[in-house]
Amino acid sequence: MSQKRASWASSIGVILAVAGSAVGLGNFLRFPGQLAQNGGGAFLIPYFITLLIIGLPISWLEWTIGRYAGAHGHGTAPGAFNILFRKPWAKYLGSVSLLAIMFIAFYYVYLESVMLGYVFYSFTGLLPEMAANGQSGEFFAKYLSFEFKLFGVPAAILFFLITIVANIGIIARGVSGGIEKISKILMPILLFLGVILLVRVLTLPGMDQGMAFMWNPDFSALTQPKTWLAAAGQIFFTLSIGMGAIINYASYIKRDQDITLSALSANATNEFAEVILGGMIIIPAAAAILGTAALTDVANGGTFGLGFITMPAILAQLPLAPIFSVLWFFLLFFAGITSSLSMYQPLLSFCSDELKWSKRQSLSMLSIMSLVMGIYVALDSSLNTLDEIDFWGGNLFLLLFGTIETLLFATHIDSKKGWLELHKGSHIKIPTFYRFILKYVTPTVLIVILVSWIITEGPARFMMTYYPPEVRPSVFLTRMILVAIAIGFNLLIAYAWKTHNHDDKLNIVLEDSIHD
Amino acid sequence: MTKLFTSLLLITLLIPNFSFSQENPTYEITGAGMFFMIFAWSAIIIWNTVCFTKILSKKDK
Repeated sequence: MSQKRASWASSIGVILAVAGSAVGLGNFLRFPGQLAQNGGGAFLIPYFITLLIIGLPISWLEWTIGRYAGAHGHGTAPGAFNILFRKPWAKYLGSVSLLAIMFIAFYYVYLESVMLGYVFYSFTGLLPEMAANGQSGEFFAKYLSFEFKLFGVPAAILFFLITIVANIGIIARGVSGGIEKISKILMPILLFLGVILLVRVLTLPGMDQGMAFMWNPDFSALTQPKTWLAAAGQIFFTLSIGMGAIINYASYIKRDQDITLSALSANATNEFAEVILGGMIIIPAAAAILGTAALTDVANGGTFGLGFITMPAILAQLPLAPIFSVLWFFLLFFAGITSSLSMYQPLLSFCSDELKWSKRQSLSMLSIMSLVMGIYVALDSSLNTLDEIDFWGGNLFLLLFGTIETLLFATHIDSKKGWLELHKGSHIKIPTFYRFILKYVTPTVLIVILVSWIITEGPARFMMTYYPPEVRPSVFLTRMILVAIAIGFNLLIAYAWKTHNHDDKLNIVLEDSIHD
Repeated sequence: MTKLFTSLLLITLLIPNFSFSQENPTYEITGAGMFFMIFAWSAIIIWNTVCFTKILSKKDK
């Protein structure tokens, strides 16, 4: 091993960092809508089944891949796949995870900055005031179209810059000094803010109708494939799997440290934030304040509608509206920043582990990339650019990478050796039937989900008929930019391997191989 | 294919075909709704408690 890798200072630290990566906007904004639209309480049946047969196995798989790769000097999927699967093409398949994470970061950090802007305008009172007059949609539109200015600069751009600086500043301090420390501070605050808001919502008269709207089961939804796809999609989106973030975080764990219980604990924290906090705040609050007639529209409003338009309108009706508005958007901002750190860190790790760039070079490159692509996303206030990038990075590539890694693990890894690797230093023993699930069930189910998803979502997206005709040229331009980035990134991988002879490590680690 | 997969899963799980009051305009919570809510909350709280108790006990050793 050429140089000593950084490592986490404590097991709680890594659990909170991974949980922070998983707890994001999806928990608070996406989950309640998915639950209400897909059979209410009955949605939890496919949700928990996919958690058990997809979510947990892939989590354990990614923690195992990450810790193993980290022990051999790699922190991202291209390096990890090269060393695990020992095939020249494997590193290129690994690029899917980094492309997913990069594409998501292009828009996610911008959305995170919008939360920060909302915190500011909640504090000044402008947002609660406009929302109380039924103008939360107008506020959102004005914010996105740069009409609000601070010191002569569009507020959206100013808060975006602050958010980038905050993210880069934290990861510059390293894994234990930056991400771990901030996760230990922000995660408890986030959960505490969530509990305060939960108590406030549960004490609102009429909130029980929202609970009924969300949780009363409609079992007929279970016969519809879209319910199962929605459940699998939610599990993917919520657990941070399929994007290589866990692989990277786990690469900083020492080889003899537990990963089985840590993975379970991180997922448990995420589920607390999602089902208990996310599932109980928005829709019961909407029922109590907007009335039951609005619930269907609220549930179908989508992530942005719920987060940026409906929720400010709801909060504006509460006594002490600015305070609750600040709390809510701080909660979302904290959830966002702990997630975006897990997007930047793998990219930083790729630059340092594979390209051997200095930290300064890597951070500069990340900052420039975030700034340019973030502003490109921000310039389209209709959010079609964001939507297009989200389709590729936040949906297709996540599912694709999840399928690739489970398939490769099933076909190229000795399952007994893989199982032993997972249990090195383990605090718990995972039931043995999970070996069967990981080898056969998870890849099969993922293939079915991926194919079904492509059949149902693909044609309209691939052919761009999903978009109005007038925006298709700009969507096409975005797509070409993404293709260019994907090609360029794979060329960088080829360059890194050629220049730094990463394949030499394959000989060194042969005796430690878990290859079949 | 997906329908077949879904149907197989449903048969495997033997989910009873109850119908509940989702269409009820007043959205009164049903016993089943309450069950799912309490079940989900309890399962997740127990899951968290067990995991973190174990993690903290290992940390002490």
